[in-house]
Amino acid sequence: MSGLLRGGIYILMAVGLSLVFGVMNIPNFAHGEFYMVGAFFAFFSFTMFGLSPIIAILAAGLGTLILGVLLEKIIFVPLRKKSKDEWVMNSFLVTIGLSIALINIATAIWGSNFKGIPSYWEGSIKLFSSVNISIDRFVGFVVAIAVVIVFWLFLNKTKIGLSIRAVAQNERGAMLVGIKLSSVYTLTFALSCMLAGIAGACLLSINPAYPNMGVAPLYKSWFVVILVGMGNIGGSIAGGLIVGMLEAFSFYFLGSGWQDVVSLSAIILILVFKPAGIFGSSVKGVWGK
Amino acid sequence: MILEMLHITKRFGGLIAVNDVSFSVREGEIFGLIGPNGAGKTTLINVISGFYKPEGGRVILNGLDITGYPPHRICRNGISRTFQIAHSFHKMTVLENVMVPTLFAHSNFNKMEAIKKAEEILEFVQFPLPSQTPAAKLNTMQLKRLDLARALASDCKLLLLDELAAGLTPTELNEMILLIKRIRDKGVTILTIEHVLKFIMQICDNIVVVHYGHKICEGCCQEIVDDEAVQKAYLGEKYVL
Amino acid sequence: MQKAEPKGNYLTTTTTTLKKYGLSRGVLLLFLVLAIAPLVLKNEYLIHLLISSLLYGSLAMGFDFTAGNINIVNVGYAAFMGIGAYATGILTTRLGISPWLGLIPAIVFAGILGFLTGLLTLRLRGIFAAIMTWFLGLTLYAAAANLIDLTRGQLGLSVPPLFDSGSKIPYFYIILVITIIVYVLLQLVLRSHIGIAFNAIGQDVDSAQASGVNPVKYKVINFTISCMIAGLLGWFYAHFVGILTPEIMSTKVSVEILALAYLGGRGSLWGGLLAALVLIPVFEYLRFLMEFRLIIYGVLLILVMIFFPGGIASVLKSLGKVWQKSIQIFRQMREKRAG
Repeated sequence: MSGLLRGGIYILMAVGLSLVFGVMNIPNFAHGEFYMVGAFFAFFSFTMFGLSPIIAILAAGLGTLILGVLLEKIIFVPLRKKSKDEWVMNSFLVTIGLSIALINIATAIWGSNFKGIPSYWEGSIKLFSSVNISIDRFVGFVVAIAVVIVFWLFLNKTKIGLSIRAVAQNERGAMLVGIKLSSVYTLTFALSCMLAGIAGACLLSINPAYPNMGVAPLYKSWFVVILVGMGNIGGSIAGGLIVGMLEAFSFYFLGSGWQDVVSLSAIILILVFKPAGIFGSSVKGVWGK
Repeated sequence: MILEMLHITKRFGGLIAVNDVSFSVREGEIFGLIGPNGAGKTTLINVISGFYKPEGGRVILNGLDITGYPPHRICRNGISRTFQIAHSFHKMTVLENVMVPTLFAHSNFNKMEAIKKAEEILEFVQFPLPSQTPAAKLNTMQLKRLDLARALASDCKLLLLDELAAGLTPTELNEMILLIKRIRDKGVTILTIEHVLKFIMQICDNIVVVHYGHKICEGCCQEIVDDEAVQKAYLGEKYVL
Repeated sequence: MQKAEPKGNYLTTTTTTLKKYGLSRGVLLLFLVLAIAPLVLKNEYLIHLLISSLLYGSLAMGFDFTAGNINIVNVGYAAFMGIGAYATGILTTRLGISPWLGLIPAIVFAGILGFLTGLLTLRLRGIFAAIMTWFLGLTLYAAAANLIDLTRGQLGLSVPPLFDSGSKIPYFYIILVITIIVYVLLQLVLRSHIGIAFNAIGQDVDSAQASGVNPVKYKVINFTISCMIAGLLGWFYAHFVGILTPEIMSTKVSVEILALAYLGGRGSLWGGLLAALVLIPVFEYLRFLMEFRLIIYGVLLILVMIFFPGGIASVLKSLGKVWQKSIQIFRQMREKRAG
C-alpha cells in the first residue's frame, strides 16, 4: 500500500521534472529542494499558523509557485541571455549551484533538525476487510492524484496548457504563432516547483522536514523520468507508480538499503539499452553517436 | 567500380527512408545524387559513411564489403564526407580542425607532419583566412571550405558531399565548381548530393535520381532531364513535358 | 656579455623543456612556493588545509580531464575516489598489507570501474551521460553502505596511516608529489594526439568520427585515466584521514569537486587546482559564517556559470591578454618618445 502513496508522490515530482526539462531544456538538479521547501512551508502553515491540513498543503504549493517565479526571473532569464550554446550543461550546473544555495539557506533559516508533525488527521480508515491505512496516507495519496489530474486537465484542456505543450514541441513555431516564450518559461518553472512543493507538503506527517531531504526525491524523480522517457508527462503517471511499487517490493524483500540498488540497477540498464525510456522520448534527441 | 550500392534499404521504425536502391560509381567520376527533399539522399550518404546501418543491402568499396562499418573505420578505408550543416570543432583553430584527420585517418601521429599537411590542404582549398583563426569566427562559406578541407585531409579515394552548394552566391558557386574539378583532377572520386541544378549540370558525369526512397532514374544529365518520372517528381504531373 | 650567455641558454632550454610538460612559469612558481610552504608555515592546521586543497584540487583536475575535454560531466566522480579508498582500506585491514602497497589495488579497481563507466556512457548524449555517471555513483555509494561485512558501512572503517609520526608534513609532501605527477601526466596526455582526439569528440562527435577518430577508444581511455587518478587520490585520502565512511562517495562530494573544476575553468586543468587552493582556505577562514559561506558557494557557482562560464582560468587569461596588450602599448609609447 505504501507503494501506491510513494507512487503518487513520485508522479507529482516526475511530472514537474519532466515539464521543466521538456519545455525549457533544463535538467533541474535542484528539483528536490522545492520538495523540501514545500515541506517546510506546510510545516509552518500547519503548526504556526494553524491552517487546516488541506489549506496548509495548498499554501505550500502557492509558496513554492511564487518562489519558482522569482528564481526563474532572477536566474534563468539572465542565463538565457548569456548562454546560447551549451545551454543544457550550463543550466544543469546553475541548478547545482541553486541546490547548494537552497539547502544552506534552509539550514541557516530553519536549522538542520527534523521538523515533523505526528499527523495531519488522526486515525485510520478501513478500506477492504483487512486493510487499514492511516487517514494521512490515504488523503496524501488522494491529494497527489487529484493534483495530477487537475494538472493533466490544465495541460491538455486549457489554452495556457496548450501553449506550454507547443513550446515543448517547437519553440520557434510557438513564437511564430504568437506565444510569449518568456511567460511560458516562467509559468512552467513555477508550476514544476509547485508540484514538488505539494509533494513535500503531502508527506509531511510521514517524512519530517529537514534541509537535506530533497536529495532522495531528486534522484527518484530522475528515475521515473528516465524510465518513461524525457518529456513524456503522461508516461510519468505509469512510471511513478511502477517505481513506487518496485521500491515497496524491494524494501519488503531486501530491506531499505538494497532497495536503492535495485532501482538504480534497473535505471542503469535502461539507460544502456533503451535510453529513450520505455515509452520512448519525444524530446530533442537522446542519442549521441 | 569504386563504389557499389546493392539493394540498400533503410528503415526508421515504421518509415522506410530508402527502399531497395542500387547504383554504382565509377572511379574518377563525379556522381550526382539528386531528388526532392525527403527523398532519402542524406540517408544514403549516412549509410555509406557508416552513420546508419542499413536494414538490407550491401555497400561495396573497391570490392571490400564495408556495410555496417563504424564511421571512423570507413574514414580509414578512404571515404570522407562533408556535412549538410557544416560542423567544425568550434573551440579549435582552423589549422587544428584540419589536423584531426591528418592525425587520425591513417594513425600518423607525427605532429610536425600533420601541421605541414594541414597547411597544404588549406592552401589547396584556397582558404582565405590565416590558419590560426578560431573556427568559431567563420562564416558559412568559410565553414564549408573548412569542412571540405577536413574531408580532404584524410587522403580519401571517395569524397561524399552533402549539399555543398546550398546557400552560395553565384560567384561562390563558380569558385566551388572549379574547386571540385580540381579535387577530381587529383584522382578523388566524388559523390555529391545536390539541389542546385547548375552545379549538377556543370560537373556531374552520372546522376541518380531518388524519390520517396526509390531510385527513379539513372544516367547522364540529358537522359535525366528528359525522363518523365523525374519531371513528374520535381514538377508534378501537370508539368510533364 | 659573453660570460652571461651560457647561463641564459641553460635557463631557457630548461624552461622550454618544462613547458613541454605543461609547466609554464606560473605553474612552476606555484609548485615551488608550495614545496617550501611547510618550512615557512609551522602551523599544522594550515598544513592540513593545504593538504585538503591539494587533494581536492587534484580531484578537480581529474574530473576536468573528462568534463573539460570529452565534455561528459562525471557526477559520480567521488564514488571512484571512494572505490580507491575502500580498496586500500579493506586490503590493509584484512590482509594486513602495507598501506604503501594498497596504492596499486586502489588505482586498479578504480581504473576498471572507470573503464566500465566509459563503456556504459558510450551512446548517451551530454546530460544523459552525466545522469548515468550520477546513478553509477549512487549505486557504488549504496553498495558501500550496504556491504557492511566488507566496509563496516556507516560505522566507519579504520585505516592504518602511511606514517607513524603524528606530523602532517610528510603527508603534505606526498600529496604535493601526487599533485605534480597528476598535473604533468594529464598535461602530457592532453598535449598529445590523444588530447586532440578528446577535444574533437567533445566538440563534434560526427566530424571526429568522419575524420577517423574512434570515439569508443578515446572515451574509454579518458574515463579510465580519470578514474585511476580518483583511485590514487582515494588511496591518499584513506591513509591520511584514517577512517572511511560511505559519505565520501556521496553526490555531495562529487558536487564539491565539480564546483571547483567549473569555478576554476572547464578544460583548463590547472583552473580547478587554483580554485581549490584559493577557495578552500578562504572558506575555512570564513567558518564563523557557518551556513552562509556555503550559500555564497552556491550563489558563486550560479553567478560564475551565468557570467563567466569559463571560470577563473578564462578571467585570468583575459587579464593576461590585457596585461600583454598594455605592455605592448607601453613599449610603443616608449619607442615613440625615443624616436
